[in-house]
Amino acid sequence: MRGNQRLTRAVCVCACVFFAANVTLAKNAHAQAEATAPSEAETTDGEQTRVDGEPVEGGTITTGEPSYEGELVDEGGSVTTRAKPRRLPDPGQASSTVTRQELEERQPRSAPDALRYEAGVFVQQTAHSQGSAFVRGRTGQQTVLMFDDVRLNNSLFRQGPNQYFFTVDSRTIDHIDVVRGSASTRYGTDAIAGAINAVPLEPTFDPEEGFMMRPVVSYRYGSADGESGGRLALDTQITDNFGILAGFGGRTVGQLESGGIVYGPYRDMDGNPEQPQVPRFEDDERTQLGTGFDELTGDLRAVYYLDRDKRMVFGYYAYRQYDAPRTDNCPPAYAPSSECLKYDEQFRTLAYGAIEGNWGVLAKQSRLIFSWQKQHEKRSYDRPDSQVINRGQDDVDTYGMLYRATTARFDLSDDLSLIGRYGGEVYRDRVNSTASTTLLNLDYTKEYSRGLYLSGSRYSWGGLWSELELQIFDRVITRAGGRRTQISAYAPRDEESGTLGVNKTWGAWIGNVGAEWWANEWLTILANADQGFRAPNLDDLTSRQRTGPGFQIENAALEPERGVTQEVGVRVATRHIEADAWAYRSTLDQAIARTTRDSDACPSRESTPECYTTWSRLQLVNLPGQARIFGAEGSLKLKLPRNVELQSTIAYAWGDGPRPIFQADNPDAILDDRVPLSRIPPLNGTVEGIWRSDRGLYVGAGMRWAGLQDRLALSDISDERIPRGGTPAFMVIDGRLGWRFGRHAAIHTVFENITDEAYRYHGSSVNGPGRSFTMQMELGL
Amino acid sequence: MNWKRNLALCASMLVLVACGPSDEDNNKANNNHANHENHNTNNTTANNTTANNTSANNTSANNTSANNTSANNTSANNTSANNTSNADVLMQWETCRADTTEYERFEETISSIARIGAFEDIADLLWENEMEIMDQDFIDSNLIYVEEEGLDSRVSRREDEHYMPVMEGGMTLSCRDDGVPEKDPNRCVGPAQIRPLVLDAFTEGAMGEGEHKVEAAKVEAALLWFLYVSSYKEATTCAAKAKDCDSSFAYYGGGEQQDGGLGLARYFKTHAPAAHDEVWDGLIAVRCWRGIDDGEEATNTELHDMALAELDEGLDYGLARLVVWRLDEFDANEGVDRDADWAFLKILGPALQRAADARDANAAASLETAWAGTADELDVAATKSTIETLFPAP
Repeated sequence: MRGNQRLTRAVCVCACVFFAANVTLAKNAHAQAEATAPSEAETTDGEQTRVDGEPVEGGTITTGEPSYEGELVDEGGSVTTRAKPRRLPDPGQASSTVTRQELEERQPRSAPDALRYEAGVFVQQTAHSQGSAFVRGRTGQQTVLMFDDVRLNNSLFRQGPNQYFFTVDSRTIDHIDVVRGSASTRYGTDAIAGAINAVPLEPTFDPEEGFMMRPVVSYRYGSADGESGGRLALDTQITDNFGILAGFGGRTVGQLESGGIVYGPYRDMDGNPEQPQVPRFEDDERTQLGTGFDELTGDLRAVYYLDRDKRMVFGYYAYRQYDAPRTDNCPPAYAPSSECLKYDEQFRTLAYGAIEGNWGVLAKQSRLIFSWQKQHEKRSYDRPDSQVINRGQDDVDTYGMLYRATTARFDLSDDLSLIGRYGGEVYRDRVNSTASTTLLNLDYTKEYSRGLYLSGSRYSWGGLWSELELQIFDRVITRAGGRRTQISAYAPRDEESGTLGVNKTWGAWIGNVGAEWWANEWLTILANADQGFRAPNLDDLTSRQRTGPGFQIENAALEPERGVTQEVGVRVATRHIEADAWAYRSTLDQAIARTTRDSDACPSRESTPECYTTWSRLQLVNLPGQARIFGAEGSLKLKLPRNVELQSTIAYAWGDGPRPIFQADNPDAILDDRVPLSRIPPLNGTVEGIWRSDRGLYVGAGMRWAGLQDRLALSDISDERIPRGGTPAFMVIDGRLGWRFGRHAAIHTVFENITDEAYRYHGSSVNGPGRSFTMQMELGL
Repeated sequence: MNWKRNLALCASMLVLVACGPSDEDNNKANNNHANHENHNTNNTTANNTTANNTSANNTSANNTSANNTSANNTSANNTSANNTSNADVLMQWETCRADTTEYERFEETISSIARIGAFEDIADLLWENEMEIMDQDFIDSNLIYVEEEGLDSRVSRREDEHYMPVMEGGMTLSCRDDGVPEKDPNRCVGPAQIRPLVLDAFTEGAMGEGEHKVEAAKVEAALLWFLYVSSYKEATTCAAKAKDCDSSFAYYGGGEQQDGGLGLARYFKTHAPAAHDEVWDGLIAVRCWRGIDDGEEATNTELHDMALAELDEGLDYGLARLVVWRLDEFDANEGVDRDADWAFLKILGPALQRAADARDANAAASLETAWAGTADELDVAATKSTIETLFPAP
């Protein structure tokens, strides 16, 4: 470990020194860079210029250099001649993008749902109103979620899946970038398995017009859950350099009808399959209890161009979800059907201001963001027959500042050029948490001294990073970077509940290296190594909560987990084929994982009785060995004549780790005893085909499939969301039909699960929708 | 014709990529609504044990059945019932019973123990409260009762395995589902009978609408009824899940061995020592059966029935002795104490009815008449005599 840290520090120092030395060069090179740097995307008829090997649509090849000014950016039907920053997928890493066009054609139910066709991403749903993307086998605290570069992750993110990406309104998204594999150097703590960034829609700018107002109204209906809702947006150009896009939306979603009961592989002595306890069904054995919710959204985005390539942005995005049951607890397994754990309110409010643009060669593309975000969650566990309701509320306010920049390309010699990337961020959380029990028969409410968390808790994290990219002989790119991360956690002591206080600070140096070799015009070979780092957050350190596998108690003594991801990839880009394939190995030392506990580990019975009464009580610990995930994934896109496109993805992950058993007296005894990691997705993939006419009509089909997952972690076995013996394989086919008439009208239809398959994504409480259709209509001026 | 070629290519792609998975497991089957106390399908808390299987408590994580955990260490040889003749199995079972003095758990953690702890806490606040019972004591008791995964969570789903499952249209219904408890209040004893009694008593006690001692006695009797039903229920469903035997053991004695005892065991030890011994023998008999019949699901129904009968006999006898004990109290007390005794008897007396009916329907009918009457109408001596005749000492 010490050697590892030394190596990291050396890489960081080298990168910093290298970067500092080149600042001098940068000044000299400024004039040259201004004159020669081809910052715009280049379209070369048949002759492809390559930097970074990142192809863009239509055979155009985008330079890896920051591009800003003068571009015509395709906005998925709308046209703008105002430049806006092109946020490239992370260069050199396994990444993909869900475009606006794909969002329209696939008609996802939510932001997580929009990721189902991405390679290496597997979307689990604990509730109909929730969704969590597994990236390379990890989710929750081990992936970074962002909205327009602002982190959604806060210190209350749970182990395992969480619902928070669902609180991004997919109707406000322009595209979603997915980075697979460790991205900790660039994105900081939590980015152990990847990063997901939802980039919002922009107001339209047309220099030919002065004031311009364009209302757009859309309506959507889904037959599987009776979804009915819409959005009204107003795209306003106030002047040719100031525009506002504002929208308001809402929908009501009913109970979700599935293809039927999903039976696991287990058979009883009579050979009959066992029906999982989760979810429960109406008498038709298709309609799932504990599903449905209501949703309201509002957003406003103001963009003011200071200059051709500098602008200020203000964004406000509000998400309000009401009456959303947690499917696996509505009702809980074996409990009376009237019992239900419900999120009465699941809110997220994000406001931020950004200054971005080209500020010279050292900040050719840069963003400075100040943000405030509030996550609000109000739950109730209603047991009407027993005349009792347990309530809880958690609020976290996150204040953040982020700076990120990319330099111009500096030509050091004829065969050598350099780009630098650097940045930093600071976030701070403040937490408020309450809990109570109301006896309805007595009209009596008891307030507890603490909720899931401790009111007054604070969590701060920040870091500085830089990365250098060296291009050699137009054939090879090497990258190296480093980050210094600093994190502090504070939680007050609570005597009444026997909760220990927390006052801890952690710091870490981490780094990455990578290389690309352009073997020829269409083939690139890549290799990367990135160190991951994640400090325990307030959820790990202080939460007491019911989880899928059992009741979890806090552990204030946790230490950070550290990982390394190594990956190799091949990327093919021709006019007709885009493909990539990656293999990776991701290890995690001192991984934070759940272990079972006996009741001696519980806090006082008065404060936390459920710790005693639950069958499985759990606590997070740092595993004494190494957890690891091996995997491979690939994607293929064929652009055939006559506007036909075919694309396919496939992904596999295999993970194991030390058996999470606590043996204070003999911790070494279990090192050789390894077990599967929790909820690793099975072999899975997708196939899509689509024909798009020049006049806006399209017809397509998609297929999603997954194999049986019967490699279960210990906590999976007690998790009622997973059928006994594992989650069975499935294959689902969707049909798509739609037509877009410029920006004035569109209709999109998806015929989902045409074969009416009963299926479930591994680890989900909710079975997928049965045969159904979804339709969205849009009208605009 | 290009489009045809493209279409064919699309179709080929679909077929090629789709050929990997298949779902042969999605066959529908009858909806089995079995109501399991310990719902985890596999042995997860076993992982909490140490790696070396030197004692019965140290089960390995993969040990989903009773491997290496026989109640009797001498019989812990993992002999499958299927591979041994019936006579040998019987002998093995008898040997285990003879040699076993302590119940050895299948799993280290038994959540039911906490529910017995809750029962004792409520007892301290209500019927065993040496101070005057206050309204707040009922509120606090109610809070304990409805703790998440606590007593109420199990009362609300408790089925009495002495009765046949509720059936409709050839389907087995679960008492947890809406409308089912009303169809068969005897089978759905928890939600249909016990829960309303408990909640009403808490409400009336806390609101000052009833005499505190009387309401406390109702809670006491209703929860004892629950413990009595639960001990038998868990021993029954232990056939499907070995750890349910642990729950049976815990519901009876709170996880303590024969010389200790909380909850029902505490009552039996005090008021019916012979019953306590009988129940204890029954628990050991059940444990030994499951230690031998150690598959994930038990197969030796004959042995199971024998063990279960012994446990049932002890529980019935013990319950009868509790009723007799309270009849004596009723006879001796006056005023509100007598009212409390009567409230207790009005609940636990009828709880004995099924067992009484099974022994002598005519005699049982007189008991039914007795509980249906008023306190003043009760012939204590006759009722005691009937019970003692129906439930002789084992």
